Amino acid sequence: MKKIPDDILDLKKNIENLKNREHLVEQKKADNSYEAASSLGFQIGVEIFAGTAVGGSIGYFLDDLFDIKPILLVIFLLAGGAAGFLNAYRTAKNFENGEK
Amino acid sequence: MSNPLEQFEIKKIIPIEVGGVDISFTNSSLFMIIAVAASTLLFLLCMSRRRIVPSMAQAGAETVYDFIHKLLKENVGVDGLRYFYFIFSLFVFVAFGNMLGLFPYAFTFTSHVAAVGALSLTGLLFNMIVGIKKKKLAYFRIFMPKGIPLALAPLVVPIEVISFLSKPFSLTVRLVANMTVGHIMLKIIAGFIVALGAFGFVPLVFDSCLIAFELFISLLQAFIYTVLSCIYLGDALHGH
Repeated sequence: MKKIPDDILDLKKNIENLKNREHLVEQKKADNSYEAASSLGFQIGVEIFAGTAVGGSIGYFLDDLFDIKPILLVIFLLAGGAAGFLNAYRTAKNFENGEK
Repeated sequence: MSNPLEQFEIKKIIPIEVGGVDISFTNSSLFMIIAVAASTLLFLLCMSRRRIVPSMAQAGAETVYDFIHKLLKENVGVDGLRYFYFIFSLFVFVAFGNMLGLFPYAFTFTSHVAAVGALSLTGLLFNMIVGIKKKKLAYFRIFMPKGIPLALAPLVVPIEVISFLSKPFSLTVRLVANMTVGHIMLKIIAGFIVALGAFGFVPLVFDSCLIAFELFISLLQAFIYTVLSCIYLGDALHGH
């Protein structure tokens, strides 16, 4: 049988090495998706908090302005919560579109 | 153990007061100037000898440029490339602010709501100006999405307005919270190094790992800040 030349054997080794590395990179990708998911979780928390806080502070200042405490504070706190959830929903949707 | 919150104190370097308003030059302003100067110098130095086949330094600067270019193209579109200067400066400024803060005795201006909040509000104003310039009065349709009956307007419009106003706030809180928490953690664990005496090497190793992690976080947060600014700019240009 004809002997396989050395450079082809080297090539074979090289291919195997690269395949192994590919496997490692794919494993790393899975880790990255965990990181992305946790950062998304934090982002959504911040989003809900920010909506409520901004709504609450707008209500508070408007109350001060018109001197009708605490009617507007209650209304804007509720609207702010809704806005927070709306932003959280949009963030999650953006994330999903990015994944595809 | 020294107070871990001491590092966030703002100290006046040159006290200035104009008409009762305190506009002193503080350590925060100093580090902002250092961030701008350092980034400008670094990029000038990297691009000083321009070649078709780039040197290591030039390739580094070009990578950052390409990265933001691609980000803007993907998130805003080709017409967003006109605002490249704004997004690029934003990214470099925030990234340098985060990273400069990791040096010992340095001040992290991105850990202050006042500094980052002003930056986010500037971004919001910029988006509004760009949007109004492009779509004129139709820009305000973002507060009233298509296909919603008029009867629901009193409910939808305030919610959309608050959602619009909370965007810079959430941007600010995210960046500030990440930077503040990281720096407090570093300082507390560093305090244990002396307190534990002979076993001090354990928190020392932990702290060195944390520094590397913080470096990653500071770049990641600058990246997230930039991506979200791009998305908001895209919203202003193309609407819902």
